[in-house]
Amino acid sequence: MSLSDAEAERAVASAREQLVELVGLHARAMLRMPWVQTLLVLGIASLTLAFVRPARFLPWAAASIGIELVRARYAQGVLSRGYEIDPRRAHLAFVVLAAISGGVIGLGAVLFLPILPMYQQTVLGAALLVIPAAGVAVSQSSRYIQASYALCIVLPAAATWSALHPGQSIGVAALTILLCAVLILAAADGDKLLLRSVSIRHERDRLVRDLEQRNAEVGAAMERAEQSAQARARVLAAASHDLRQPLHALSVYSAVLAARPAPETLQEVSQNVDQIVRALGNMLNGLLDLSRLSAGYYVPERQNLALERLAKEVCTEYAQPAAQKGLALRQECEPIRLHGDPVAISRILRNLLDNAIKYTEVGEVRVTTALEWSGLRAVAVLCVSDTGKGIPEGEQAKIFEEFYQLDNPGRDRTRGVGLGLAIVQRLCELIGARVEVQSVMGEGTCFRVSLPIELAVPPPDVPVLTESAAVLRGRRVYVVDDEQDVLKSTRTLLEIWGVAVATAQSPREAERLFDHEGRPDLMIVDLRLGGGEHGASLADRLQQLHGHFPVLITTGETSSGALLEANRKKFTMLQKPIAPEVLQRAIVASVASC
Amino acid sequence: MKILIVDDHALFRAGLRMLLATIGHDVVCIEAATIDEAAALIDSHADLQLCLVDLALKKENGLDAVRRIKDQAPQVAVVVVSGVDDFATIRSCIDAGAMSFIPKSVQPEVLTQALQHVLGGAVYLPEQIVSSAGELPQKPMLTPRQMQVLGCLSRGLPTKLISRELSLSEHTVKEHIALVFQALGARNRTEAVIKASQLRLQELPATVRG
Repeated sequence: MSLSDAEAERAVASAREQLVELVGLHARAMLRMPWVQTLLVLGIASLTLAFVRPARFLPWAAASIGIELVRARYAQGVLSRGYEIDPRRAHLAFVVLAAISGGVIGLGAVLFLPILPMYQQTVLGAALLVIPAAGVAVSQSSRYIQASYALCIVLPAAATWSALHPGQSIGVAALTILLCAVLILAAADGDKLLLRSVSIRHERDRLVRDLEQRNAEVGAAMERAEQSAQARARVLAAASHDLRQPLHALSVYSAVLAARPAPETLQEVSQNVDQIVRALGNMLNGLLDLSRLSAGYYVPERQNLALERLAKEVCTEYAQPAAQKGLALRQECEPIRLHGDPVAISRILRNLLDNAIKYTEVGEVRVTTALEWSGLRAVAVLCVSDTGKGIPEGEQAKIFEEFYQLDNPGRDRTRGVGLGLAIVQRLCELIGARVEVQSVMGEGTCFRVSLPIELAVPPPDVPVLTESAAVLRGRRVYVVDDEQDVLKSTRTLLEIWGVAVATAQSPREAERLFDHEGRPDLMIVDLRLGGGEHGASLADRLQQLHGHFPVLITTGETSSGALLEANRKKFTMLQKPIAPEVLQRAIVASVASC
Repeated sequence: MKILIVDDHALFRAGLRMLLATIGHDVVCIEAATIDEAAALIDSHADLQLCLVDLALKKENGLDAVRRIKDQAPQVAVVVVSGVDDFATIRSCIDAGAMSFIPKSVQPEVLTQALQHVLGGAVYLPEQIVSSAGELPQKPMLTPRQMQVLGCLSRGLPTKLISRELSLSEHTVKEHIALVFQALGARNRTEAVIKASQLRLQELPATVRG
């Protein structure tokens, strides 16, 4: 959102709040009005008692107090609903009520002035001019309420006066205009004052919010820095022990060689030195990787990738080591397209597989990929599970720490150096993924990596609703496709545009949808549905059963019988892959055409 | 000579075993990774003479190992071989009854030398301890008997064993010990061992058993 947009939005919010405030103040003033009006009526009654017949006076008095009762009642309703009211409507209602109330008082002038003697005429006339002035306070700065009230009193009064005293009509007209103008201007000034106070309050709230946010950010940054410093200290402490140990061992072997050992020992010396050197190398590499990841030198790549294919590739690398230990390496990979870092994801999988094979003696290691869905967010889940001995619950959090190794009391470096899972966790943090471990002692362990899916199309490219596409909001669309991840990504896209989506994975499910929910505003159906029936004939059949509805057919094919039939039925065809803008335009066109 | 190596790092144990076999005569090494393993081996090998113990055992403290071994078999000389080498650690090892302390971080040739010392029954303490002495007393004149008692003290032997080894009464041994402490300006066994080492007294051949 650009700055000016934000400002405009704030201005709108501020105007609404101002109106709510004004309506509330006015409503509170209205609660007193029946009493005020009663006193006013009594005053006018005392003035006119001798000259006006009760049959003429009482209905007017009743109407005049009655309308104030109505106003007070409405005001009470407004107050009880508080911020939930529609301030525009309430304001309009108050303007109308003020006009009626003013009109009734004005009617009093028309009814009574002609039959009153001069002295009483003057007093009543003066009173009628004073009443709208009091209204400035009551209208609470709404020039509209003030204007409707004042004009409805003053105009009939002035007109009656002019009719009774034609000689004064010009003066009365001038006075009337002046009075009304001054009163309305006074209300408008109050209006400005109110706006200013509301905007000052807004500004203050915004500053406080900004400040709080800034504070939270600084706090979070400090905490992160603290944590990373602690992590670094921990790694360093662990590393200094674990790096020194093989060095000490090397130094012993160096002493052995210098002491001219028996020739038959040499074989063992060289084997052991070789082991130590390899372990040291692994450890150094792991540490360097870890520090590269920690220091933020690693910038995750983002590209479209097929998770199941990547998993298969990595599994091939581990077929040999698994076979050597007599373990079965199984894969159950649901096809998933996502946008992510292939290098990081394969490294994560490699480390997890390496671990699983290392810690499993019999049974199998299984790699699965699956799509999980929570609300609008899709998550690709990569699992590596084994039938190893399991990880005790108390240790499950520690295994991600650097140099932590389960069940390796001799710190036998041929069993790894204890950095693999630390690297997995660091990589997951970097690519926004989450790694969890579930383990049952004696049954096995499952590492679960949840990768956030941004639709195969990255979000910035998802077109927002254009003006013309606003018609999509609230439309009911059925999507029929036999591939689940297509269904899910299409649903996400459509829901972003405000479309109400229902999905079906087969013709049967589609039929059920039509039976239960009726005809949609549009059906999007894949031509190839896996079973016997193809999309075009399904659409055709459903149209015959349930009446006409627009249909969009999606297809990756360029020539087939099904395609010919679809063309014959004159369904709109969309060639896969379909860009979101193209889909949006097609939906708008289909929905608009019916 | 039968030697027990207590260290949780298998490759280090193997290296130590080969080095001892190369520089010693008729050395037989047995190995343990934990204190319990060590205790079991000590029980079944009555002819054990020397024990090399690492301080950083997995989940166990090597100092406990030293105490337990001295408890179980006071006559066995214990030498600590450790990755840490600060003064306090070395002191507490001697306190616990260790005869010598060899840091793992020393150069290979120093390691060989230190082990040769230890195999010869002499005390070895790291160079920085030996050279860190402030004002040293004059090299005290110790009688051969007192030198023997000092040698026994260095090996961490209790009074009873010293009296048996030197065929003296316990009372006499105690008197000798008091005189040795006085001569070295030491208040206890640990100080006496360290002072003797600083004064290079330990280079005099101590009683070698067997």
